[in-house]
Amino acid sequence: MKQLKNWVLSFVIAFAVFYLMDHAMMSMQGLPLNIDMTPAQ
Amino acid sequence: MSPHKKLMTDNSGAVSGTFSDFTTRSHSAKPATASAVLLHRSMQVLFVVIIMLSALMLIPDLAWSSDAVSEVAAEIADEVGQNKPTLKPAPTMGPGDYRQIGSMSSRSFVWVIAQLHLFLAAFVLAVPLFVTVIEWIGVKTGDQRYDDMAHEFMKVSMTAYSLTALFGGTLAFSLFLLYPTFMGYMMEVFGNQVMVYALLFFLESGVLYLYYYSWYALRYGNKKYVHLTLGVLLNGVGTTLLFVANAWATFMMAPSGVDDAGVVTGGIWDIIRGPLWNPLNLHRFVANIAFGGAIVGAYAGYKMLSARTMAQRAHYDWMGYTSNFIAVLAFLPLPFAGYWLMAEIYAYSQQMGITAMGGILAWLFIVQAVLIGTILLAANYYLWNGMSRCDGSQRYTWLIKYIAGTLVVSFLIWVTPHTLILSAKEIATLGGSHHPLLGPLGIMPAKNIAVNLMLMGTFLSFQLYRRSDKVITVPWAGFGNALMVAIYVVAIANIIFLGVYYGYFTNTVYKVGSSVAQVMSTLIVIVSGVVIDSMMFKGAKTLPVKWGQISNRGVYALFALPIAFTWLMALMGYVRSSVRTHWHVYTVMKDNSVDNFIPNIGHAGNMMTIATISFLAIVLFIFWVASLGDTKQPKPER
Amino acid sequence: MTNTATTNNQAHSVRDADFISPPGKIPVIAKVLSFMILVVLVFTGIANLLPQVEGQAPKDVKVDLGALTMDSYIAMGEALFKGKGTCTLCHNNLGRAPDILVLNMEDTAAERLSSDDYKGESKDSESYFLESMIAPSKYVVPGYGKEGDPSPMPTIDKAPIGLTKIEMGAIIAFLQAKDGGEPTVALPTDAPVIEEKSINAEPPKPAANAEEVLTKNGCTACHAVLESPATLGPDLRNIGARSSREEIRESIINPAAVIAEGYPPIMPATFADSMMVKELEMLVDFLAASKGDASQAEDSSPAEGSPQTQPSNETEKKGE
Repeated sequence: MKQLKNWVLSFVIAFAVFYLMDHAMMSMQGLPLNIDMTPAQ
Repeated sequence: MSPHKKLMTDNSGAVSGTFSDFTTRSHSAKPATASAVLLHRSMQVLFVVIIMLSALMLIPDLAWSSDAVSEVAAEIADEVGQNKPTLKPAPTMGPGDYRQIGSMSSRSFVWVIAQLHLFLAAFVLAVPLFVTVIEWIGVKTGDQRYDDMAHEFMKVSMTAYSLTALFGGTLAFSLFLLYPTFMGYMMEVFGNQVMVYALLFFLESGVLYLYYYSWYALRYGNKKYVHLTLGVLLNGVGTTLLFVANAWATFMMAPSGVDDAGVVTGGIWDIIRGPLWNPLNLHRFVANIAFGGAIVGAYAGYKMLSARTMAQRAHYDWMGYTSNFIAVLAFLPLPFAGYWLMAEIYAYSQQMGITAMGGILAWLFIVQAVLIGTILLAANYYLWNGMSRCDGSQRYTWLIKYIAGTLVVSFLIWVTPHTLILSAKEIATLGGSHHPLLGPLGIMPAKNIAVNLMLMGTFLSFQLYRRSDKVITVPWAGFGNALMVAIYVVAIANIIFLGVYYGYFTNTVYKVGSSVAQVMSTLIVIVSGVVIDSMMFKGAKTLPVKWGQISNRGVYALFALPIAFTWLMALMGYVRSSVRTHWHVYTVMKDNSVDNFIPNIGHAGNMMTIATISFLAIVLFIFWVASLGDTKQPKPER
Repeated sequence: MTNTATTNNQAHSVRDADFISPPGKIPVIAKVLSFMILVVLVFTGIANLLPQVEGQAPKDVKVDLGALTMDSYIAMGEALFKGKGTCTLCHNNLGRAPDILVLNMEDTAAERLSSDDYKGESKDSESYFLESMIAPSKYVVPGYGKEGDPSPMPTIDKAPIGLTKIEMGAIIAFLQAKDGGEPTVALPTDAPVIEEKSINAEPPKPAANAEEVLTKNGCTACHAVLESPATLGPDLRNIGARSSREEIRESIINPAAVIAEGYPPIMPATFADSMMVKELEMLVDFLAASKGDASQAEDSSPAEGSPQTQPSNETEKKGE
């Protein structure tokens, strides 16, 4: 059980970190994340 | 002094015995009086101050771009008389302004000589950099082996030093002989600055000899700090030398301090501080370390393969491992330094940037991919083989085949020329010299994925290697491992997602934008890996490492590395120089010689090979001379 | 490969004994050296396998102002746009700059001039195009360049591109005419603004020989002819054996008429305009006589080094 909690927590953290990083990197260049598959620009 | 002579002999086992005697003696002879402690402290402070000063030099934008500094420099330049406008435009040259040696191409001749000088100079400047660090580690850990190794590295670089000067002199003579008008203009522009270079060279020689020959005279206690200070001073002078010479190259690429006609309008400081100077300074500085590490790695590998005793083999195995570590550690940030340089080139002139990355030189980046791939594969192969030194590595060996698979697939994707091939129509419309595509290399999504995965795979190998001799004991080990795995998994998914989604479903702007996030993903893995590991290693149990217990085949990776580094350096230097196309000094002084065209890749490759093989011959000579110093002819019987 | 066996043996002996038996028959130095040279040769081989293209320095083309027609002026503009002007490096379909070759530039210019953002001084397309070349930062098209920064476009009449007024005029004529418009730019008359390059402006001489025609028109980029091994178009070294003079002439003037089997229809149809009659005839003579390797040298004046390696050749020839 504790193991499961470790894994879930780890993935949640990693996912959040990378999502925020993507967001930050793209917005620094003035671009939206544009995840909804709409053609960019 | 007899200890001095005895210590010069290169036999680590026997020597360290002598050393420890020496240590105890010197320590007991000097009781820790207040003044001694004070001296010790002040030595340390001096050392730290000098380190910080040189660190400041390495953050060029902090130290150099501040206006206050440049004003002061301009004032100094005024006083020296540099700032007097000479009001002479750059001469326009005709074919008669060039000379030739027989029927030999002047460009080819200067090409090889300059390349050899740069190889040697890079090596000579790099070795003291990590030698001083290793020496410092030796002081901190109290482990004599570090000190011995640092000294042995220095020994190898000493012979290379005089050869560097010889090739530098030959290069200068051949430039003045073959390109007199061009060199005349360069002297006009740089003026007394070249004498500063000469002066620094004297200083470099003095400090270098002092550093090397005082090694055993200043080995313990406070004297060691004097010696370390000498080392830092040596690196300060050496790095300044490098930066001074870089200014000539960057002035030719992106002239500053002159007007459109090449008339000198600014002070020497304006001329030196062109837009590409600092990026090139950083890039060359870091690349030199990687290069130097790879060369001494080959030395260690060669000594290990020809070792006669197990102790020798173990010593050189460890030395080879350290060299490889230095080379790879310095190599990993290089793409980022290269990115900065390239970005500044684009900012200075889009045209120049595109000529390099998407124009006629773009194919060279395919060769670059092969070389970097070779370096990464060799470094990984060496790490995997090195894991056999420790039994604890068996826990991780199952992962190697996946890393290897990823590396190979990524490598193949990377080197596959894709959209770059010139179509016939394009050749016809462009006259064969430029290509309109930006090239797959800067932004091509598949290749970005591949490169980042390769870097990440290399880091994973490195991480596994570091973990192989440890048993982690911290209570949160389970969470730490899970977090590390999660970071890898999410990072890989993120890199692939960014590459595929933005790369293939949106436009160029997004491709460039997402590549930054891809690189950041790799950086996050590296940084978090180092942080998490160092926290998890607290109180970890260490398993014994059996140095020398690596297959000979693994050691061959140590020979592939320097070859790839050397060739890569020749290649990228050629690209850097060629982006000027038909200009001696871009936009200011045209190259009207018979060699003002960009040769085809095959020809350039052959020139690089000539330079590399010549360098190889020189390096072998250096290694041989270095070992000759240890050979003593037995006294004849009669 | 023979190394592997010996190294394996050695590796075993290492673990067993404190003293290592001397290495096998081949000295370590020889093994290491041959390994390193092998690696170097692999790299060299790869460099030699890639397409071999040389980048020549742009040559100064001399214009005969007396004989210049608007059509040839437009053609000159197109050549400059795609060649010496290096415009297509950025103005292409990659989004780095507006794709001029695709856009209708007359309409585009009118649109830009009437836009509220436009801050420049131009009133018509001619002055707008010129302004864009000599003062690119006057007006940066929305979506390009970076806010606040000057335009990334270089100033076209300055180094390193350094086009002359006449050359920029040619480009304007090309931009105006390429979508069917009527060029408003005036043909340059004599007494041009003397640029250092055009001081000795003299009438354009037709190419001196067929080889020069071939290289001048870029034939070698696709066809195997002269030194070129290119395979994108049919091999021309033995074309004389396959085709008649008439067929050869037709294929140059109107390439689309007959497409050789197995080749893409990509040959430009512009040679009828760009080649002088004398040049065309020289070329047809040369190709008709090319029936195999032996006849190569025929019809060519004394060999004078490949123009690629000696850019100064052309000027020297002109002075004859």
